[in-house]
Amino acid sequence: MKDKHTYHDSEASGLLPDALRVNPYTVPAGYFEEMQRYILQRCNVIKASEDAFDVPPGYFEQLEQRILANVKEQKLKSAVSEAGFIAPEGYFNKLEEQSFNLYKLQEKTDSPGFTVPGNYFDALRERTLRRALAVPATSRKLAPVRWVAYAAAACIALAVGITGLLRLPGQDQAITREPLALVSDQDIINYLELYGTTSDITYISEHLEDFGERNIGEGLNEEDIEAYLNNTL
Amino acid sequence: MIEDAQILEKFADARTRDEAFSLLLKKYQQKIYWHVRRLVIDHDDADDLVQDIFVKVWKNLGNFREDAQLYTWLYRIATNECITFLNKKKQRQNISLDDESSAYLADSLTDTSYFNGTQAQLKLQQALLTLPEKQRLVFNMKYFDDLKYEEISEIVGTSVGALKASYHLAVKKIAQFFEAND
Repeated sequence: MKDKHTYHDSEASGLLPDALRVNPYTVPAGYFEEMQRYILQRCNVIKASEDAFDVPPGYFEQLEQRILANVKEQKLKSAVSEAGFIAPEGYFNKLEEQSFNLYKLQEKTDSPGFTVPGNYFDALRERTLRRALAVPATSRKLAPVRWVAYAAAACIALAVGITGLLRLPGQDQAITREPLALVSDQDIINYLELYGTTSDITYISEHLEDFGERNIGEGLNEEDIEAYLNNTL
Repeated sequence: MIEDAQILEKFADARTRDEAFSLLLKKYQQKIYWHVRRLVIDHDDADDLVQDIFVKVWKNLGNFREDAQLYTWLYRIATNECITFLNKKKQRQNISLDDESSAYLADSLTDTSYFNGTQAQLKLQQALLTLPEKQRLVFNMKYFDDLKYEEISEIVGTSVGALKASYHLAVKKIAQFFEAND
């Protein structure tokens, strides 16, 4: 007895005649030869494209490190640009405007407007040299006031020394006063210019003529002169 | 006819790989084409699919595990490609994937210029298009390709018992179709 839940091929086959097992579909002539050639071509193209994208040995081992290094570089660049210089607000807008205005101005003015005579620049150097040679050479005085002061001081010191010698015991008063008269008016003026007050200069200039008739230091005692010198040297 | 083992051995060697693939094409391209053609009906669709299938085979044959039969592996790839293609075709024609009938392929059957069968053979193909896709697939492999249930089981991943039941139901429905359209 057959199990009614078991399927047997013989039952099914019996329902369909073998005549129907024939393949009713067709293909174009030479189709399978052409298909084989075409499939092989496609495989070769894929193979060639895979070979074309080959990578050097060890490429993928280094790829990660290089990508991470690039990421760090980009982070660093962005950090530096953020913390770096900043421009005032609206600077670039103004700059653009100014540049544009300058450009427009330059466009309008073909030349600077100023002109010079013909061959001006050729003759300029020559004329400059000629003028320079025509001017008498002047040497620059380096601290002239100081030089005069030293000379005057030396004269005064000399006069005082001579006066001192003349005042030694046993010598005549007239003799001691005589060397002081040897100091020239100019030396005295120079000295006072340096060390004297404005009133001294005024006084001397007013009575310069009188000095020729009198001896220098007349009317001054020696102590005053010495005290004066001690204060000024 | 060259053995599958020889083809695989040649394919493993880079120097003879192209030759091995040519041998594989020669041996299996027609079987795979007819399997695909019976499922998608239209010649141009079958042509595109067979090319894609063999390109896929070429890319993956190096990973083929020899514990399976080469031709069942080829059939499995072809079957999966066909099912994917048919599902896309259904979507393009706004047909629900739950609709198991293959009636949407009926136009291809009558429009195709590469059909040379008798009226009875045409009627059988029309009857097949009324079946659910899985039953049609099993029927084709059993009835036309004469594969064993064990081999079909390896290809579609269904138990032998379920395949027998599926085939039995398919034959019954076809017989009923013939009776109804006499």
